[in-house]
Amino acid sequence: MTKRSPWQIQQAVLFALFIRELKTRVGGRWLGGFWLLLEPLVHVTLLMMLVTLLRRITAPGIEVPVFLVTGLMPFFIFKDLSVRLMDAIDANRGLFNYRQVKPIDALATRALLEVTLRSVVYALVLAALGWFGFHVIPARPLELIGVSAVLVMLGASFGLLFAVATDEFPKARVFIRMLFGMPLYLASGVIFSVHRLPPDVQVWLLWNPVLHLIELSRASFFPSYRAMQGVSLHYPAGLAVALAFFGMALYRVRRDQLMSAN
Amino acid sequence: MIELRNVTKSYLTPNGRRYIFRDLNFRFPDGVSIGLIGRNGAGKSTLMRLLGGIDIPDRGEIRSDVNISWPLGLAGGFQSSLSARDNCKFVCRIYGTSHADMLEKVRFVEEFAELGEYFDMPMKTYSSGMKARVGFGLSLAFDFDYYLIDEAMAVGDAQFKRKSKQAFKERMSKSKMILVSHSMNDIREYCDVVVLVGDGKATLYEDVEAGIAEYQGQIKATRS
Repeated sequence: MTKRSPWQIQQAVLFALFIRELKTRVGGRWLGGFWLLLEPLVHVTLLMMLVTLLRRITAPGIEVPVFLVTGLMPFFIFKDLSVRLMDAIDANRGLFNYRQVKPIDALATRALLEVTLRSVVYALVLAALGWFGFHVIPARPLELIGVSAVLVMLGASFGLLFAVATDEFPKARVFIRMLFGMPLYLASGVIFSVHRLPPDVQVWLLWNPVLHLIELSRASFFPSYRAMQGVSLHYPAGLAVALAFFGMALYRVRRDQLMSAN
Repeated sequence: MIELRNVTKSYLTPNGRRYIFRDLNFRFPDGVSIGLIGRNGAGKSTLMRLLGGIDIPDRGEIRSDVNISWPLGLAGGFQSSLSARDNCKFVCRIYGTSHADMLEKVRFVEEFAELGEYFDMPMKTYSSGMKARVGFGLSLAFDFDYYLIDEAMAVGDAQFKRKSKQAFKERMSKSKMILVSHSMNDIREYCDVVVLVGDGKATLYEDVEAGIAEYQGQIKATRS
């Protein structure tokens, strides 16, 4: 066997894990890949019907489907990263028998896969809406990319911290999955405009970092959209850095336990 | 050359930290197959995991200039949600084999394991004997200098046992093995020297029978 450099080994491991994750996520069943694309479209269609029935209009100059998609897709990216990274170590535990593979590789690969898949789906859904004649070109694309990067960082930091912190107590994951489902969905203003809520509710919602990012994401999309009072990029970005620090520190301390089968 | 330098390894248990090795210095002899023997909990499997690179010493280092396999054990080291084929491909990929080489290795394992269509089913549907077939086949598909084998020589049915024994005997002309076993017959059959592990120490016995006698003496001492 020829000797490889550490970087070559790292590349080989990430590639092998990527293929392995991709296979379980979408491969084998074409339904898996299809649903990934269909899920946001189904959401949008159902919500559109609901919105039309309730005769609610978001704001002048903002098209409802685009408004929904620009909330739904960032939310999906965040939720997938945080919740799916939590399970990444368990899902690959058998593979830590090979010296090249470490838990952090499983986390990194899964993050890479989720971001890739969701970005592709985001682009395809926007393209589909554009085909129907909606305005899907963001007003400030660079700002959107920046906000999305913070969103990815925040989701990955949550995921890393959850993965290492719940390794000993897998039952806590059920609770986290529940919290990051409907409650977070509603508290992030994914499907409605948070501006309509009473101010004392808004103050509480501002604790939710995902709300900040979804508001900013929309503000970068629509020229006429004004983010809710109190929303800033500093809070989610700072939180992402702090959580990443704690997640990595805990990983370092518990790296032996994370690898052992339990 | 495989050498342990000042290796300290401990585990955190509910009753406090437990040291398996403390400042262990040991050099494995070159060019021979080595049997690791010792009582349960003496640290044989820990030593195996350290050599396999899946456990890292608290302090000290393990130096080697040879290719060491992954620990080949009863547990398998496979992802049970994947098929044997996908697991084999995964291992080929982390070892950086070319695509053509990978296909050849997978075909070799498929033929060696003789699992039929099970080869493409998730490994959680396998019995432990079937997993061992894949494990043996896969490790034989690579050219390692040392094979780490943890209590796995005696798995499978009689026909497969014969086959894997035969395959390993052939392989031993160029490769060596480090074998953990409680079966002294296996140790006698495969190993040129033995290393007795216990009380945080490792002692080399060039004479296999002398090592086995010492080990059996230890067992008697605890019984009486």
